[in-house]
Amino acid sequence: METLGFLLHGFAQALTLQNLLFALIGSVLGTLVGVLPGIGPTSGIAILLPLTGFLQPAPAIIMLAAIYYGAMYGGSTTAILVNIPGEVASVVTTLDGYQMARQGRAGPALAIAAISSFVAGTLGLVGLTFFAPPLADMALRIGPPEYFGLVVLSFSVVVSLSGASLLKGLSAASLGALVALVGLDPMSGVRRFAFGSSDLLAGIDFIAVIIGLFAITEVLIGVEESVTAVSMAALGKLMPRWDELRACLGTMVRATGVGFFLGLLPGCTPGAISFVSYDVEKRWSRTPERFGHGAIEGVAAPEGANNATTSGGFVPLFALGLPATPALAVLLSGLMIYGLQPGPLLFEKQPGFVWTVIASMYIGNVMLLILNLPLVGLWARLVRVPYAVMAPLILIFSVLGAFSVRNSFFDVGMALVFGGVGYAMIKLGYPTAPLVLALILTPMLESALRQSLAMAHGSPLILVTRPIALILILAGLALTAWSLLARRRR
Amino acid sequence: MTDFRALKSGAAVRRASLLCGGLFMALGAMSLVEALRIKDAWQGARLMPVALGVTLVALGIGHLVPSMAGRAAVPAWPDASARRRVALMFGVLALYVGGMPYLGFLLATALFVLVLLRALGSYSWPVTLALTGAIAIASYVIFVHWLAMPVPSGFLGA
Repeated sequence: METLGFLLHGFAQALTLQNLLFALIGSVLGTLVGVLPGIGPTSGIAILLPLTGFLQPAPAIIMLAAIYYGAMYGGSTTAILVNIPGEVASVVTTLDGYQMARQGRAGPALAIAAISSFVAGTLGLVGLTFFAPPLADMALRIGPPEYFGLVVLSFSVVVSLSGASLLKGLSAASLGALVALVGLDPMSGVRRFAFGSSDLLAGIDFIAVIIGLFAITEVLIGVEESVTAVSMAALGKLMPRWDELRACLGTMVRATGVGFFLGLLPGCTPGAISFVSYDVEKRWSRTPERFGHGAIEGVAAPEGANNATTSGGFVPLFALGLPATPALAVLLSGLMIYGLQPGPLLFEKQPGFVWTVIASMYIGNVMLLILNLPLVGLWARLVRVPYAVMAPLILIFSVLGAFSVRNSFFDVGMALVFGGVGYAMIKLGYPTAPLVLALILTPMLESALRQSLAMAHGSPLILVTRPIALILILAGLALTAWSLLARRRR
Repeated sequence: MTDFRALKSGAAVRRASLLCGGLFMALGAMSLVEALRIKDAWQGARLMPVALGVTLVALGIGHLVPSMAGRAAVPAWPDASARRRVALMFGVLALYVGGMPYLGFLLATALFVLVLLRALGSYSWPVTLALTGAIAIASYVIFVHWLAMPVPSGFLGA
């Protein structure tokens, strides 16, 4: 009851004109940041942080937090319409979202992305409201061996993302892992696969790879097939049917569970979590063969999960001062600039501030739904824009998106290279999603494994003697075996 | 009767499998050589390159095993005219990126859009020029003017 009282007080503060205005500004900016490839919430928050100096802490943090969760809403728009994930977390959304757009169902895809984001984001906030301190304590008990188990579990997704050939899926994942290793080893500082190039020493940026694999590849295929527009099918209804909404209700709840609980763990990024959520939904479905061909649950699951992840990430941030993602790390620095020390005492010492920000997130989610749903019709019409106009636009966005990461033409060059690689992969029947998943997971896998080995003085037995780690590894192996059996039956 | 189409597609699958198998084995070998170069404990910076090198070599060999690679789909390479279109598009994109530091963002973008509109669309010259100007100037205003992206300005200063 005490929590509810604090929350109501937070609402009273969050509903003041000034706080509402900054929640709205943050939501709009976040949506824009999400739509534009290459400009993520991390850079969005970092750019605006110095500009908030004239504000009180609450409106400033309300706006920065709204940019963070607003970006998750916006990231799906270009993923669905033109196969360009605006955010890393929206990569999975392209798998079914773009297929829906090609079938003339861009409207329902965009609408379900917004609705699922709203439902999961709000349910995640309920978790943040009522369970923050105990959940943060639990998350703190997860050490490197348990992380290793989690990553093994996440890697089991590769099998179900492999499409027709497991060999090709595994090969694509290995290629992604190889790309992830390029640059300085983050633990020892040793050069790996840099071949004397100072550009390669900084690593191959994730955004450049995604832009190449998805956007540039898609344009090359469009040109090859002489398409006249992304979709010439009749636009049809802009909202999902009732039966689809009913079917997606369970999806949204499951996506919330996956996104929120994995989002509690520092290092578990929304990108990786959306893959896991998609896989959970595919396994849950009685018709998994629809996934990848325009299944509406394939859009609802990752979009719900990445929004629940943002809510989950605030639990360790507020309760322990631990940022789960780079964007939250920038937000943490914002809190510190205002003299607020996140940690167990924040809820006791600054209850007014914490509960105002939490209440503003509920309001921000409603604002984002109201902002996004009416725009569905407008966005959906973009798929009818002639390809002769759309292709240069996509490519200009791609070049600028890759360039904006580090203001370097090396990244643009990498996007071009991966555009060619993606085209060849598709022509040769290799799925690109496992490559992206391995690119996200490999750095996590490597650091968790090496930290675990360091903890046990080189003994790998530590991975099987810690119960949670063992359970997670066994679950990963069991899921892999299940997927392999399911493939054999098909 | 001999099914020449099946024979042709079978040969295409084998050729693609051989090519990809060789490529993955080469990448695996490169990874193992890189691991040998790194002076660190086995559980240090060389751990992943070794593990990945072995995996890539195994996957490369897997491509050469007909029972594994044989289930692969026939490569869907386009016909000659589609190949030309793809090559042209990729070439124009590469020229756009390569030329931007010299021409500047605005001019390079305008030329890029003009070429693509002529190649992909069937608009009259006035419409093409109007679209070119609109796209190039809008991108310049949004990304360079508003978002202050430090793109090259070239000899025109824009």
